[in-house]
Amino acid sequence: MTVPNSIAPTEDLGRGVFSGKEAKRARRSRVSINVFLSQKGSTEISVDRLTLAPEDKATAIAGKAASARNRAFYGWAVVTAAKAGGNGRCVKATPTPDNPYHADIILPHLAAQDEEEQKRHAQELADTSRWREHPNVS
Amino acid sequence: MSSTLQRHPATSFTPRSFSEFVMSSILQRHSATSSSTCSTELWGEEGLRDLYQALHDKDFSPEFVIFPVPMHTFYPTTSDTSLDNALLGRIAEIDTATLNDALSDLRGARDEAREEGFSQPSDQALQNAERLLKAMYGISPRRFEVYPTPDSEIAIDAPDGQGQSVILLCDSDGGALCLVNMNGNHRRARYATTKTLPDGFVREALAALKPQGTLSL
Repeated sequence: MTVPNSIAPTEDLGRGVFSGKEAKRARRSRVSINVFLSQKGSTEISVDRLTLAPEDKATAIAGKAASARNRAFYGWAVVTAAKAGGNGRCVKATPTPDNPYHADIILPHLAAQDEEEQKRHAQELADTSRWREHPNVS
Repeated sequence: MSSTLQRHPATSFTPRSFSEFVMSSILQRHSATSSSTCSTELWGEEGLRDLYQALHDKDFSPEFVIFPVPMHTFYPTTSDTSLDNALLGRIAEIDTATLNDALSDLRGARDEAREEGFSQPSDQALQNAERLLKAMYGISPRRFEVYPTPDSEIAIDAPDGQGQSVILLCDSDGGALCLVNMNGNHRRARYATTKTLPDGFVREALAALKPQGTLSL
């Protein structure tokens, strides 16, 4: 199946969670802002296009990412593309050879050098997110 | 609520006799019989002072006002800011387990920072976070999420599950950043010191959150 480049506003975008403590927080209330913080100097937040990715493929991709970090995969903090693209942000399909369902939430350019701005965006994304547990986590 | 409180020897809290006044006022209404104390151990002297100031702040009129008592927390309902009238209000009891859970998370923050590969938060950040967590709980009793950030801050995070949150980030230099998100509308305040916190900005933001249902009357 060819993965379309355009992202529909209703698409679910999942940010992988690789921390047991984050997963506990997510089950209790929501993930922390740490989950949606971009790397220093970057404005891109990696996500998976969960609406398009078959579940087995999405979990396999996330599991591989977890192994690369020497961590376990617990689930996704999920936001809709419409919410992810609000408040000056945008979403862009950025498929990779390993992950055809890869996309980025891109913060406004000025946020790259402004940590408070990055945290503000991370807070909003965390607040709007919902938790989707890894199907194999007991 | 069955009360089993008893007047306890006065603590050395300053302003002098406030905590004893709170306790004695409660006890007069509750025929206490066994031991408890309104100590500074749970809330800290500054926490009690914050409470005292809040009760006498003309702009502060929460539906519930918290009273610091170990084991239990009493909530007299009031629309009046005076302590006397507050004490005449209805008194309820809530479980303080949520505060203890958040304090437990705070104690585990250094371990979490290590696990996540974050820089360690400073002693000052941890101490400020502890004081402010208790004070914020006093304003808005709820399950605060407490965790370290990659910038060696301690986050005191109050999400209301309705797309809104108030986050106080206690940094390792003794300052703080308060981030408020009300469904995509943002406000923030940066503080060089936490000594003045929680201030009106933080109080107003917490008051705007949807309450969590931990109160049993």
